Amino acid sequence: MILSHDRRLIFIKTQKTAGSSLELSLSQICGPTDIITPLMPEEEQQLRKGRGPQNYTRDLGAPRKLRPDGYPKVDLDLDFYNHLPARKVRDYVGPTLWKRYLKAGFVRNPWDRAVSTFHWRMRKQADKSPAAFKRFLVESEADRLPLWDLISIEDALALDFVGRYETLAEDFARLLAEIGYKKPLPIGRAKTETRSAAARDYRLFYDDDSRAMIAQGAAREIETFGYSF
Amino acid sequence: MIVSHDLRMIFLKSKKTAGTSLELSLSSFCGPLDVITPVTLEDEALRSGPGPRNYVRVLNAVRRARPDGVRLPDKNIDFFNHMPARMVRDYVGARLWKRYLKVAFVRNPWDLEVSRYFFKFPGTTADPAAFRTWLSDEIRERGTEWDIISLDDALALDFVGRYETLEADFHRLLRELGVKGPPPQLGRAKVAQRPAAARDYRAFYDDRTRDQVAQLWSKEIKAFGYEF
Repeated sequence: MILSHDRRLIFIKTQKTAGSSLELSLSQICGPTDIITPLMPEEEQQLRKGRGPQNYTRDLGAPRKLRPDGYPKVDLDLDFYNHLPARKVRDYVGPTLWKRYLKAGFVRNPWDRAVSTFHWRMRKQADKSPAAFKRFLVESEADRLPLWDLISIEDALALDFVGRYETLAEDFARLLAEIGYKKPLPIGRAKTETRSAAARDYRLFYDDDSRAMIAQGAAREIETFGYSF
Repeated sequence: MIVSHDLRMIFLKSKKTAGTSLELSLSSFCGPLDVITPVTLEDEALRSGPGPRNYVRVLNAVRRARPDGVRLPDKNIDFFNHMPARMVRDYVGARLWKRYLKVAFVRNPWDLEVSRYFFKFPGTTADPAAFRTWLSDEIRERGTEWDIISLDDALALDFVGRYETLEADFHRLLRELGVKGPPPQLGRAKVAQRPAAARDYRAFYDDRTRDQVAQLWSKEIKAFGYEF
């Protein structure tokens, strides 16, 4: 999650939508009072250029323990953190800024996103078969992927700007135009090596049953953003 | 000192200009991400709205806490009450510095020095000779306060309020900030320090001390057109 006073932008970070990559870019055009939540320690150490995590611990409570890269661990009940839901962001920043700043987030075809989640979470396991995917769906309840919860408040879409993973570069450029940033800003590259080329077509991972699971679990996204299998 | 993203305002806190009272009032319009530096323990008790927040600049910093639980800013790192404009600009960055309304209040320096005297020696009687002795000694060791409101020796403010027209200028500021509704009562911090008999600052000066003040405050006198 990023909140930029400099750019009057609130970036809600959804899962498996190139969120870390987009944040690596956006943080480069942030100012010193902006809120930048930390990525994973490996990503911070290897990929971050320019301005890094800052201002994400809220001015309360005890000092936080440190992560391997030296940044304070977030307290999920107190601090700003990567996948902070819109409702909490609103509570933390107050109504004035929530209303004034552009609230942006990215979405993705939920069937594709579930396969991406599978490859990310099971990245250390060899079995990436459709059967393993279905087991994963059932066991992890990953059909109820909480993306809608991150970008909605009281079941209504809370974003002013919706980008799509399917048209990432184009939509990121549109976002930059919207916040008045006129120079080119390449998209960072995080977590890109987890899905093999052979696994690109998400449809191959589904049967009727698993397809229906996602249709049901992600119904609000499908309906709001017009996705189909 | 206040940096308000909600109000798009930076309030620079000059000394002896009702700065604490102004801050106590302004902070009631501040949002959760705004920077509000702590005032003294006694003055903090007068605050009704949001209290000190977001002034510690380092993640995970440990700062010594006062009896009221407020952590004391580290003046080399954090935002603090009378910090110079230069530091504020460095801490908020060029974009916000340019965009936000930079505000401070100023005051007739001869009057201000008398006010400082009674603030330093509360309960003291209005004795001009004692004042002059104190001032002559003290003023030699003291630097100017010009750097609180200037950058590269140029005035850094978009809005100048005057202590002499405090209430009216405070209301003008609220209008400029777009604050709607009736203006709140301006806080009354650190008042009643100066005896009624000491209202007229002129009676405290002789030519020498008058010139000393004129010299120390020459930039303010020129910028704001104050006369003895």
